[in-house]
Amino acid sequence: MVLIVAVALIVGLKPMTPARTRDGFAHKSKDTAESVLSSVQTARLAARVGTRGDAFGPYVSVLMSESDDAVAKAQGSFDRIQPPDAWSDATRARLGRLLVRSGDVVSQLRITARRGELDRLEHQAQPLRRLAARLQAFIDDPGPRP
Amino acid sequence: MKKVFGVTLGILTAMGGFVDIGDLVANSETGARFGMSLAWAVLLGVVGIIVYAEMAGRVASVTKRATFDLVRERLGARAGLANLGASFFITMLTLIAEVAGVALAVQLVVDVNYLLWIPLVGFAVWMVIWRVRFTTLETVFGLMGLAIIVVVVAVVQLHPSWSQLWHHASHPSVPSGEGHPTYFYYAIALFGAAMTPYEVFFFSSGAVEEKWTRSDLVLNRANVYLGFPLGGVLSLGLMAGAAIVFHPLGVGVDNLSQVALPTSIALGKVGLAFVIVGFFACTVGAALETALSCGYTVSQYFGWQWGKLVKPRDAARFHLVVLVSIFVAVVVGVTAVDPIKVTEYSIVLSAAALPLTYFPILVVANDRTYMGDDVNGPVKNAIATFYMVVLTVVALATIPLMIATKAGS
Amino acid sequence: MSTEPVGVGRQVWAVLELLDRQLVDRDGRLVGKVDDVEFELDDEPDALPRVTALLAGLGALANHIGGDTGAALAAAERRLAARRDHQPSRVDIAIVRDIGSAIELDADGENLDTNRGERWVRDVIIDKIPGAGHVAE
Repeated sequence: MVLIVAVALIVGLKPMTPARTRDGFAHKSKDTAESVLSSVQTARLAARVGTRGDAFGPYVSVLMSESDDAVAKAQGSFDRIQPPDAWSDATRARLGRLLVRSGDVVSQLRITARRGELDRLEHQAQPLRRLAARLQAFIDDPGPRP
Repeated sequence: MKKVFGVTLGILTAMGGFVDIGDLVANSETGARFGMSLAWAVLLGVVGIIVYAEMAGRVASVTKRATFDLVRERLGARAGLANLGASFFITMLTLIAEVAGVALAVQLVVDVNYLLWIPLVGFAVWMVIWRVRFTTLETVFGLMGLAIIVVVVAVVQLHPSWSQLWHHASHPSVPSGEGHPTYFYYAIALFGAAMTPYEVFFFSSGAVEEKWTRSDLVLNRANVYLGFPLGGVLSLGLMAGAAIVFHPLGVGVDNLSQVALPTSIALGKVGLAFVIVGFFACTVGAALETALSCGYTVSQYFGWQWGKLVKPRDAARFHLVVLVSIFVAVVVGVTAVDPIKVTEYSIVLSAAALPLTYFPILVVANDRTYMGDDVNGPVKNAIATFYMVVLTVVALATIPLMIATKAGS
Repeated sequence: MSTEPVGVGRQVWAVLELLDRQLVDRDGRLVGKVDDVEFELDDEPDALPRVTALLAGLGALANHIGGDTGAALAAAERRLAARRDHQPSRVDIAIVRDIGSAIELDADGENLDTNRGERWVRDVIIDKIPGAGHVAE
């Protein structure tokens, strides 16, 4: 019992450790991109159901808030990972830009959803389509801009 | 009328137990991440819970003894106490997850942070157990829980390629980019979500309290054979919805809100309304069952008066345990532990703890001095023994897999 | 372990048939578990030990379990016990009416020593909450 609890705590609370190698950094970058892609796509779907009248305002608002929080959290963790070399610096710059732009759009969607202006969401979410594609490209080949 | 009542109990247990916060999360998560390639784990869990609940119901009807009463008697005071500790801890964890689940469902309707709803939900759950006759509640939540069927309608409405879904389900393989340990970790999560121990504590205690007899065994089987497969279909519906909508887009399910999204896309506001009502009913039902189960396990071990049909003052210690359990669930819940993570731990640890209660029931179900002619038949026994092996393998694999995969991350 | 006429005069395989069984009062109320069994040794050299009482409650359970767990339970019992003599609650074998899958006592649970924890929780906590005496509606 005590063992189970201890394991659960260790597994659950394990903090993000700094990457010591290029591979480690690439791996963590990929994880971050996957997590942000998930939030971006969720926000796109939420915008679609919101504008097309397929969902209630509060529900869309919750989806947007959670996506926004998740992007911010992933961004925050990623910012704190120490890049070990120049290659990693370039990788960091590439993904960092994608994260900032995604964060901006999703935050704006959150604000719009909170105001109840659901009809504007789908239009506002349009940049996310390209960002999602670029995040996917990063996931397929993590590294500096090819 | 009594028969209708009995079958409703079966369906409620299937809904509230089968589809509770654990199934909502586990099925959507795995559908999004692994497509239909883990459908077999749901199937394995459904058959497992049918075998387990049928045995527990039969044992309860014939011996008039609920699960933890027998656990103590078969394992003795010492091993029984260790078993109680583990089972109570996991039921408590599940209660925390269900209470948070109800609060999350309410949040989807009013967009007020779920943390604010948790104390209210806790109070409401306690009030229901304290004051409301269980038959009333059973009908209400039984009918409301049926709303979750909408996820299956949504899957049809999404016009998936059925042959492809079937192919993925019938030819399971680990998707590229996922390791085998992660794949099997989530298989255990699905299995644990289907076979949560509290379902059996609740089910067998209900059978004892409602004084089921041998003739009620037919009813017991109807409940189990009808109710649980229905729950399994709903689970697969959740998985398929996520597999169709989320898997191709690379969306991972981290929140309850996302679980409703495939239905919203397919069926619009009406579908969304149904699915949220379904979330609410299923999690409330499960919160009631887990809170009662906390009381059942402790009271049955110590031999205290228990029951949901007697006056609270006539089962004072039982009600005290229920009250304290709900209080603890609320306190832990509002400390903002991620409810989805709590849910994951609760189902995975449930799977690991299953042999503790399954084994004594299996032994009693084979013991003629307890069961007379109602012992397991040869076919039933072969299946039940096969599951004992499965449960043991799962229990041994859980903790190593949990560490290896960093809890599936 | 020994067999000995008990109560109604049945031969009882004490440990197997008594320990960890449910105690039930005259009205079918659940009033505790047989957590331990009390024996008495006769003076006659070849006489078998006689079961004189069933012990119930945390204190008896603590003795029976033993080890660290038992010590922890005993400590909990000392804190909780209303009585200060630390004697486990006894059920005299004379009031045992039947030994089956549960042990039926010819007594009212209200007066049983084993049920004093239940009475304390009822009187001090549960009765203070409105609605405690109502059957659920």
